[in-house]
Amino acid sequence: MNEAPSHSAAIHRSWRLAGDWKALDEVRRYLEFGRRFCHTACREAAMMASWELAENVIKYGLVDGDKVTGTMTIALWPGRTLIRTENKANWAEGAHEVISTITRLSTATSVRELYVQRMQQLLTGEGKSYTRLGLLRVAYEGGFQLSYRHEAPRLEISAERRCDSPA
Amino acid sequence: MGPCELRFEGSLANHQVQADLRRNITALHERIVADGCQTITVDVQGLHFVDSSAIRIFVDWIGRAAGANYQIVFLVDPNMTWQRLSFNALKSLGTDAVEVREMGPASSTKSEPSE
Repeated sequence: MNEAPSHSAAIHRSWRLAGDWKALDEVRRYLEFGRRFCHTACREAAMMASWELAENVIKYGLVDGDKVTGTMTIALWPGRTLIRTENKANWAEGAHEVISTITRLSTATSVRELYVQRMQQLLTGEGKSYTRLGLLRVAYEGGFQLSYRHEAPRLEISAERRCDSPA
Repeated sequence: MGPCELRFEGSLANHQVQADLRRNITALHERIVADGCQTITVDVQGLHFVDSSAIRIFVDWIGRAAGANYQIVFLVDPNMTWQRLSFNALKSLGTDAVEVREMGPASSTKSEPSE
């Protein structure tokens, strides 16, 4: 189960996500601002992960009013980064797939193997209508541990990684 | 650059740019086949940011290349985590249609993700 970013987080901030991607420009600036907590490789990983998680919200989230909306929170501690998204998601078209992927990641002996396996499926035409590489990429390329909390229709995804080695 | 070489620079995270790229790759694929080009070299060292939809474009292109019996040689920058890891994964797809060449020395200061 996910915990709320604690007040002892060195810095944290939230954004409202919508289909125009404007929030991600602010996320990029925020990660630059927080560079004392997050070395270059960690910032690259955080930027990639925040992008993929935002795409997840926008692509698979429930339309609220006239567009999909959700929130993203990034909390930075020295040596630790947490990215969290929250949105409403339809079970059949969004939440089920997300939860299934995170569950597979949490029990996999090789995250890389899952990533390659999905690429292989795309190559052979299996499940081609959706890319579904984003969460796998967050775990494999970004080195993030993913977890979720689902209280239908609300879906919360957390991605956390340690950033021990300085650039 | 000659007709069998291609270079990417910038970022590939914009849906319109990706749609344009898909169209251009389709045209390029047809040209490669028509010209009988056996290998195309794709330099992605200047590509600093992509999303997973862009990686999907590369996967689809590799599939087409495998079907048409030509090879795509990606020149990657091993200091960029996404390039090192994702192209390494692409290399593992079990097809001769893709080769990955790491250009320059790999950095020893960047952290590897845990599996």
